[in-house]
Amino acid sequence: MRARELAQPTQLLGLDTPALDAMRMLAASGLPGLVIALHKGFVVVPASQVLRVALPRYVLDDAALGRVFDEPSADALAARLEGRTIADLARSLEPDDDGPDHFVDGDANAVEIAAVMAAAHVPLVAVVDSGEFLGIVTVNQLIGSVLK
Amino acid sequence: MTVIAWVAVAIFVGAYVLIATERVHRVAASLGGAAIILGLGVTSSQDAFYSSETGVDWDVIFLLLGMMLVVGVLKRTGVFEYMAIRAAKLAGGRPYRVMVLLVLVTAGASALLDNVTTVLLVVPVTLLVCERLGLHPLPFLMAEALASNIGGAATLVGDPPNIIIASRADLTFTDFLVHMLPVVLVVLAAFLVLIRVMFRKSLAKPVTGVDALMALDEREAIKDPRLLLRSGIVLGAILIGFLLQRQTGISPSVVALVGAGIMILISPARPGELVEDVEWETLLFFIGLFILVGALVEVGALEQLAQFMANATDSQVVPTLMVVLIGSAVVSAIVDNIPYVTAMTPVVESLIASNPALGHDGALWWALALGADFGGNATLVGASANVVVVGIAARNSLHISFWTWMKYGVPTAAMSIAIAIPYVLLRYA
Repeated sequence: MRARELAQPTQLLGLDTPALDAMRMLAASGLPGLVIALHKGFVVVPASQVLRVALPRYVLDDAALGRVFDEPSADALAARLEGRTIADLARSLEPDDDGPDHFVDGDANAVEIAAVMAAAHVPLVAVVDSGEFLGIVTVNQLIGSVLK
Repeated sequence: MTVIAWVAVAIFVGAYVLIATERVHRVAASLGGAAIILGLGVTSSQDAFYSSETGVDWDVIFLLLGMMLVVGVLKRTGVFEYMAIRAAKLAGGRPYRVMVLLVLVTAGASALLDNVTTVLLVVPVTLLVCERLGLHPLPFLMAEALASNIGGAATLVGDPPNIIIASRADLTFTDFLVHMLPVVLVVLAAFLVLIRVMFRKSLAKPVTGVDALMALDEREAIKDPRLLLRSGIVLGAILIGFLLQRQTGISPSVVALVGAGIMILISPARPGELVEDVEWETLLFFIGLFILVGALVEVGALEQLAQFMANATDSQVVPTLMVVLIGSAVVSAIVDNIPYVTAMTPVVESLIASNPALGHDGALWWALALGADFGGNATLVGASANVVVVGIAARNSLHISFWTWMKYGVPTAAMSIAIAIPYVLLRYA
């Protein structure tokens, strides 16, 4: 199977998308990550990394501090996303310009798609043909297709 | 001086300039310089690796290695996070009290651990505390970096220059407690007054979230109470080993290595993880520096410098003590104090040889230690802890410029040296 046949449509997020909207979309869709359109190319943000922008940097530096939070403060995590955009998320992840791509072209076969996912440590890839975004292939979809 | 001596000086100066200007990585500069020295035959492998006079000081390397491994286990216990949050809560969230207690925790921890590790542990907690209280964290971060450099001066293991000085001068942990701790306590007390003045505007702002601070549960920071208890016992045994150096004849490097071995055995972390925490770059940097400086000793260049200083001061006690104390503070404010102290220890040895009164009670060594340790506070690049704090601040969108640092660093360094001068004169002159 080729990537264009596997591609499922999804909403492409821009850098100006509010981070809270992205979180809501993630929760509603059940997808394992988000696809963000950059000025040049696409970047996939795994769901586990989306909360990163909501975490204080000092907790990322010292994970032991996460344990000292009282429950109401910890539950108020989403409040920290107010006023933040996807651009903050992209910045906090510090994407590497020389890093592996997060997208494949429509002709990519299962091995190519799996190789991109493995190299970039992402649970989904964007499918792009001649610059046009066709949709995404998730890791679950890919495993399902190769097991058929 | 001979041609080979000038070559050694040129290579050392070149490496020193590269380290100071950060044009290349400091490890590359020091090991590159050492490689050229060895490649040109300025010094032999026998002298570089086996000589106690001109070779790598393995006591220093293994003491640093041992303490890095010990700290690697200790920091996993969460005890520093516990202490810092507890301190802030004890202060009732009042800004100046919070700052005082965090400064005391930092200075105390720096006396036992290296300064960089201390600020790496305390700064994230400080950001949490300040966020809770609605306070701007910059004054707190800077006060902690400055305090770590002051506290680190108190003990043999508190600051790398002290480790180098102790090894070269055969000074013990107890010697440092007897000679450095009293003046460090006075400087620390004065610093607590100084921060009240320097940061008065920030400290006067009303706090908003005392309840939020009190809601933090610091006990949760301690993930493994059993490991904390065991590692606390081992740390205590290490300190006793340091204190009994004169009686047992066991050097601090051996004590630290044995302690590190036990820490690795009791820690649930994989040895590989703990070894990854070792700052290998720092150890390699030291090895390169020792070879570079050893070559200068071998060709007689540092003897010439010592002769020049002895002539300039007429080998008199007071002028020599002042030149070394103040000169060390000025140089250490501008460049990393580790290469400076490494190069100065042979000079101090020669000066003491020219006038034994300078070595009475270790006088000149203490002048060197005080100048190098306290001088590092003046500028952002003067001490590793300063650079690390500025880096963490930047990651948290807080900018500390070179000049902002100097605004607080220079008064702190000047105050410290102003206290150290009468101390040195009254006690040793």
